Parts: sequence; C-alpha cells; structure tokens
Amino acid sequence: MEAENYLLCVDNMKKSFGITKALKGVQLQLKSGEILGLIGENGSGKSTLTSIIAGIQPADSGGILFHGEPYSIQNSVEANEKGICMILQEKATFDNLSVAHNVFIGNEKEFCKHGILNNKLIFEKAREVLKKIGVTEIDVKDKIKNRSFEDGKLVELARAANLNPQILIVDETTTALSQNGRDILYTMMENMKKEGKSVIFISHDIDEMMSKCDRLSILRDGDYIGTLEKEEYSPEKIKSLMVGRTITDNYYREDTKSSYGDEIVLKAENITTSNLKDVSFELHKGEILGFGGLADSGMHDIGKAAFGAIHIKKGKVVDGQNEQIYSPSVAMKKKIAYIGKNRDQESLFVNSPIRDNVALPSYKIIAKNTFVSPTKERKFVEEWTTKLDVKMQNIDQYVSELSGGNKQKVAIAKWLGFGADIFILDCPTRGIDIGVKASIYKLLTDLKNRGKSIILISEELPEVIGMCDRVVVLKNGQNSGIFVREDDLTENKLINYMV
Amino acid sequence: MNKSVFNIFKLITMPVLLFIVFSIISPGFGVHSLPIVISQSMIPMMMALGMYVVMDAGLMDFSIGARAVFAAIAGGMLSQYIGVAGLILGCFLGAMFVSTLMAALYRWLKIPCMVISIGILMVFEVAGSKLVGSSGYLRISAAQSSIASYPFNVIITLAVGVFAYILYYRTRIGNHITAVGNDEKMCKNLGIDADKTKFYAIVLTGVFCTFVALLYICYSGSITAGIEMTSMAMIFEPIMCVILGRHLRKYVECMPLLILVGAFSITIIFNGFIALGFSDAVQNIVLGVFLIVILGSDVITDKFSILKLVKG
Repeated sequence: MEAENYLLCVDNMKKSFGITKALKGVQLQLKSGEILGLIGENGSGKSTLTSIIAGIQPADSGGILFHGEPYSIQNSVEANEKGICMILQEKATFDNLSVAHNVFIGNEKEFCKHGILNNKLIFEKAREVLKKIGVTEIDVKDKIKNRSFEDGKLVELARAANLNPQILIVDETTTALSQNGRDILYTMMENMKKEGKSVIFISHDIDEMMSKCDRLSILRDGDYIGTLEKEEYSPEKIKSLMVGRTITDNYYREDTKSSYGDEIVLKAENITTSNLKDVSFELHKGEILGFGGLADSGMHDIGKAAFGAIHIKKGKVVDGQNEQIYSPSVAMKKKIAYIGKNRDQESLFVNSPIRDNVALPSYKIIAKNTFVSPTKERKFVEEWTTKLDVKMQNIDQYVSELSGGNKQKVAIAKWLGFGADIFILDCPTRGIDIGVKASIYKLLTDLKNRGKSIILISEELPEVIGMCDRVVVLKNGQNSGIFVREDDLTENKLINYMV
Repeated sequence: MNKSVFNIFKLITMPVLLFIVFSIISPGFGVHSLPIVISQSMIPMMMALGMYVVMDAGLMDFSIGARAVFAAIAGGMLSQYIGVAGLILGCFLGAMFVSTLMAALYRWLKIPCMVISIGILMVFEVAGSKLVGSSGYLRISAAQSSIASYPFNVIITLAVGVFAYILYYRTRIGNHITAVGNDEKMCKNLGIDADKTKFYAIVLTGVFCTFVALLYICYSGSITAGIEMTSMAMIFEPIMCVILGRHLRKYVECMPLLILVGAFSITIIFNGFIALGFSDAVQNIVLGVFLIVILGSDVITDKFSILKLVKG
C-alpha cells in the first residue's frame, strides 16, 4: 500500500527532550476505518508520537501525510479543525467550569452572539452530546469538581465526539473508566470505524488491545518495532516485541496459599465514610490484603480512610498498638505509606524535581540537626531511584516530564526510602506497561517476604487474585465477601459478590 | 422550599444578623445608618468585582486602587472642562489607559502580574499627585458629585454587578478566564490562548476601575492623590470580599451576589465598631478574627468531629 493511500502516514519522526531521545525515526500508518493499537512500555514514545499528531507539541523532524497531503499544524486547534482529536491520559477538564462548559470549551462560537453565551443552549446541547455517546446520568450544570475522575473522562469523550473527528486518539484512558465507561468508549470507537473514520488506541492492557484493535503498532525506547496484523496476534509475541525479551504470563505470586503472620498491624472497626458503610478489616504482618469491587463500590475510600486522609464519620482505624490513625501525619508516624489512584494529584508533586519528591517524607532520616546536606540528600534520592530503576535524565528532572510508569516508581521510591512498614496502594499499576507492572508485583512480593504489610486496592481482579493473601470484595460501600488465597479462586467467584 | 432559594436565604442571614446585633449593642447604629453602610459597601464591592476577574485568572493585582485613584483624578480634571460628561469620560479613559498599559506590559514582558501591578501602582500614584498639583487633591462640584451619590451609587453598583454576572458566567471570555485560572497548560492543549485571555482579564478590570473612580470621587466630592503606596491599603477590603465570596460559593454560584454579601458584612462590622467607639486597631482585630472564623468554619467543625472521634 502506497503512503498516499493511508489516512495518516508518519515517516521518520524524531523528537528529543534534552539528552533523552523520545522518538528515533518512528513510522506509523493508519488506514481509514480501522482501530490501530499503539503499544509499548512506559517511555517508549507512544504519547510523544500521538501528541505530535494531535498538535500538542512539535516534532524535531520527520513528516506526516494526512489524506495523502503533507500535514503541518501549529497547535491542537488546527489539528481539531483538520479532524484529529486526542483524549489525553491526564485529566483534561476544568474544575471550576460546569460539565456543559467543559464539553464545549474552546469551541463556544456556535453558542456565542456578540460575545454572550447562550447557556441554556449549551446545557441542552451538552445533554444531547452526552446522550449520543450513552451518558445520561451526569448533570450538565454540575461543576466538574463535584464529579468523579471517570465522569471527567466521559466529558472529555463527549468533547471529542462533538468535534466529529476523522481520527480519534485515545491515550491510556480505559484504566480511568469502569466497565460501563469502557463500553461507552468501545461503542464510540466501533461507531467511528463503521463510519470509515479511524482510531489510534493506546492501552497497556494486551487483552483489550487484541480484542479491540485491527492492527497493532509496537514502539520500544523511541524506536518503531513493527506492526502486527490481527491474525498474527499472540500475547507472548506482543510482550516480547514490546520489551525486547521474553516475558512469561506468570508475573504474579507463584505460591497459591495465603501466608502471613498472626500479628495485626492495622485494623478498621466499622468505618463509615461518605462512600463506605460499616466496613471492618484486619491487616496482618506480612500480608497482602486486597480490596476489589466496582469503581463506585467505595473501595477507593479504604486507602484514604486507613491513611487518615478522609473524614471517618463512624468507627475508627487503629494500628497494632490500638492507637487511632486520624490523619496522614499520624499515619506516617506509624510508618504507613499511601499511594492514591490519582497519582499526579494525590501522590506526587509533578511540578517539582524527582529529588524533592523522593526526599520529602524522609528529611528526618536525611537531615542532621535540622540541616540537610545536599550531598546526603542526592545520595539518598539516587539510591532509591536506582533501586527502582527510574528512567530519568537526573534527579533534578521534573516529575511532570516522566512517563506514567516512571512517575509511579518515583512515588514508590519515596515511601521505600521513608522505610514504611505498611503500604496502602490504590491501583498501583494503573496506566503502567507490563514490564513495570511485573517489577511492581515482584517488589510487592519482596516487601511481603520482608514482613511488610500491604493493602492493595485494585479494579483489576486478576491482580488482586494473583497477588493477595485475602481479598475483600466491596459492594455499595459494604463488605460483601472475604476470600482467602487458594487455587480455585476465580474472577467469576468474586464478580458474583461485586454485582 | 427550593434548595437554591434556601441557600440564598442562608447567605443573606449573615449580614442581617450582623446588622441586628450591632443595632442592639450599639446605640448609634441602626436603620438610620443603613444608607451609610450601603454607600460604603459599594466601593469595595465594585473593586472586588474587578479583582475577582484577575484572581479568577490566577493572577494577583495590587494596583486596582491606584488605577481607580488615577482614573478619578483624570475624571475630575476633565469635569472642569466638560462637566459631568468629562467626569465620566475622564474616569473611563484614565482607567482603561492604565489597565491596558498594565495588561500590555504583563503580556510583553512576561513578568509576574504582582510585580507589574506594584510598578504600575508606584508610577501612577506619583503621576496622579503631579496632576493634582501642590494641593494634593481635586474637587468636583456638588452637582457633579450627585450623579453617583446615594441612591445612584447603589443603582450603578447593581448595574455593574449585573455586568459582572454576565461577564463571569455568560461570556466566552469569562469561561476562558476561569479555565486559564484552573490550568494554563490544559488551556493551551485546547487552543485557548492563555496570554491573550489574561491580557483581556486585566483590561476588563479597567471597566470596574472606571466605576470605582466615579463612586470614589462622587462619595466625598473630591479625590486625594495617594503617594507612598497608600492606595495599596484600598485593596485589602475588596480582597476580603472576594475571599469571603469564594468561601460562600458552596451555597450559590453567583459571585457578584456573594461579593455583595461579603462587602455588606464587612462594612457593617466596620461601622458597628465605629459606632461603639472602638479604635481602628480593635476594628481590624475583630475583622481579622471574623474572616478567619468564617473561612475556617468548615475546618473547625471538622476538627471538633475529629476530637470527638478520638475521645470516643
């Protein structure tokens, strides 16, 4: 097939950030009416490539043909006008604006007369656009700050749908969505395909990529590795092309029986929050305790409540000495660490260097008589970032410049350096490739073997089944079942208690 | 009762209660003080409406008082030649000139708005004092000052409040200002020119400065040129109104109304204490405590429940 016959054709695309070469001459071909998967490890260049196509940043060199014509744009508005839209991995909604205004932000012209907005029409049209993609339960007048992260992503989908793009780029969005949200996205993608439009789909979920994509293009460390046709798909082949080595399926714990000490290190007694009702649990020394459920089951409140980060209306969380944990500072004194689901907002200072992020909770260890030695601080940060194998230029690089997986490694390095005994991890592998995922699972197993205790909250059932000693299933904010690790624990068994 | 009506009722309760309390405890304060309280609320409210625009865009501006004083001087000078029309035109031209200059400097020099605003404040305080000459003040006639005296000042302020509502909630630029204040980088990704939006936000404060200038010069019939950064003191009350308004936003999403409630409450406290014969220092202490208690009310409630939880 000639380059002119593709809807979009990227050739020899190069992009560098300082000394880091994000793209080293990448190529990509997208046909009309197809869903093209773009897959690769964190930091492989997927987001860089697609953000160049979407006009968010310029390339250093290389060419793009769109409809066989040279495609040259200055910004994302021009990309939108040409029919290319992108749903970003990060949050792209404005908290202080309503849902409706977020849907049409930047494109308010049709509702504007002499500079005055017709809000009634905006609300009406927003309802229509949301309904068109299958979302009916979001109040368009509500401010985004009052809605969940998932709702924000659905609003972004509606924003893209309204622009009626020729090419939709979906960058690692599904992990932020519940099954219902995912179905909405999949339907939208399928409808675009039927209309002869195309989708570039980025996800780290190989099964999802195999089932949704017509072809898969693979990137590794900024290089284009190749494109697989549907009949060539196999998880092993995809994984080995992605990481450049063979990765076995078995990256979860190898033992099939639960094993932990008798000592209780953390206990929740009938806690009630705005999303939880009377939930109790005990975490033992050396145990990985999993929490699973639907996105709105309240499970994300478990981590926050155990870390003292949200208000508990009733009940309490206590440590092994029966001392109450009612704030993050108390939790930290008890050597409890927490990494939230919304990594960029809850666990990291993205606009600060890696050095500050890793060192911050550990200044008591690093400082001597209130004075912080820069050399000692640098050594401390370098030690932990090296142990976690963070891909970075140096420790002074800003966290915002790192890929999702490396950001997560920085968040983990911070708490490992701090010397936490209890780790509360909410969706620790969200938006992370299989390579980093495998290393996180290995780290969890190592921590468990060293007698550390872990609360693992996850929306991925294979993860909780594969890693946890016990799994607590939540439904409508309540505990609906506890399962002990054993050979025959299956997803179906848990789903029955979730739904 | 409809929830939003109930919330508006709750909002209005604060200034009403303050008014009742001061009427009871202070013999010199009562219904007869209402026109003074209302008149005195109008200037900080108008300034707060303008300050909110820049604060919503994520900027900080110390110069709004100096700009208003300069505009009032320009209006006062022009009124000597063409009367009331000159007063209005002078206030408008003076305010828009300084505001546009400040916006342009901010856009071209890329210096933080706070720094630019201090520079503008210092330059135009001196410029104003040079314009009024050695007397240090400028007087307008009683007929001229009557155009923005009570009750016209209330009508003007309410009209500007409606303009502010439309600007904040019903215009494209209003939406973009809020968006830029939320996340500049995201705005860029969505094709919103953040620099241009902030430029317009600062220019728009000129509209509010115009009316602040008009009210200011008409309130006493004269304008005194401030030097040595005295105009900076003018912004603290409006800032309090904006902060209070933002805090009360949980009740109803209508910033002009919330700013009005804030301005009213603060002026009642000031006047109530004056009527009680308290010194400036005591007034400031009480006002500071009032602001902290109101803003901290959620946290205080939360802390009490945490304490109960710990004890329980």
